[in-house]
Amino acid sequence: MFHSLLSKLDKQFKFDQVSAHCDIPCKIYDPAVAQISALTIIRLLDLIQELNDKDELTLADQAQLARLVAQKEEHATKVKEEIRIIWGDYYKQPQFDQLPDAHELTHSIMLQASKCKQHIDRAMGVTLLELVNKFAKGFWLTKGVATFTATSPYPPAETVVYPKLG
Amino acid sequence: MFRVFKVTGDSMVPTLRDKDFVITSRWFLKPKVGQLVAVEHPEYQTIVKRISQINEVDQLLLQGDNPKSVSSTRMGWITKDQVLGRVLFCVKQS
Repeated sequence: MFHSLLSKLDKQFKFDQVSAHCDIPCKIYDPAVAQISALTIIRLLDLIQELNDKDELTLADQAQLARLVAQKEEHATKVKEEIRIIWGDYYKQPQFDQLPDAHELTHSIMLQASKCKQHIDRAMGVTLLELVNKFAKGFWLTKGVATFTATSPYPPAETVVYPKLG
Repeated sequence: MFRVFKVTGDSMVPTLRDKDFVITSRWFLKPKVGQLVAVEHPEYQTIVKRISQINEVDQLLLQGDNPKSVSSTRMGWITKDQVLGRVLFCVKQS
């Protein structure tokens, strides 16, 4: 009765709406962003190494170094965020049943991405990419999508797990 | 004082369903975990959610009752100023 009264009042006065919408965007999750960020970190580490090989850094080189380091930080944060969202929002009990090591793997990625922020060792970036690839493989398993590995067709030309779509 | 809102969406099912009404007020706003609140969110606009956590600086973490709700992570911490009111009554369709 009270509801029908409010409905009539709503037609007359238009109450403000309060949204209880579900996930936006609906169910769109993909580890590709994390993989590209991990590749980018390796590329940035390579470029930092190129500067390291120089005898002396010009002011322009120093500015370039600052930019490369800032980008490395940003992409390591992006890896963490993308993986965390898939793990925290998409993965639920059915996915955890399929991927018993999901928690440990996610935590390893968080730690390794932090190491990539702290260091300029290329091997750190490669390890991060390997972990993210493993995560991607598990993600596509939960979607029932087969995967394959291929070398990324751009620098740093490292091995990436791709979904077999179509 | 009091504000009436019409609910749209199903993220608060089973507590609230699409086209239910909620009566809110800021008068009784001493946030507690478990309370329903209407919030002006910077990304999701005016939303109704349940308080799931309150931190030491009085920021609130929200969640929907429906597992399909926008996650707490995506909504992030919100301040008390963003709360339009605490839900005092839910008026459901019979």
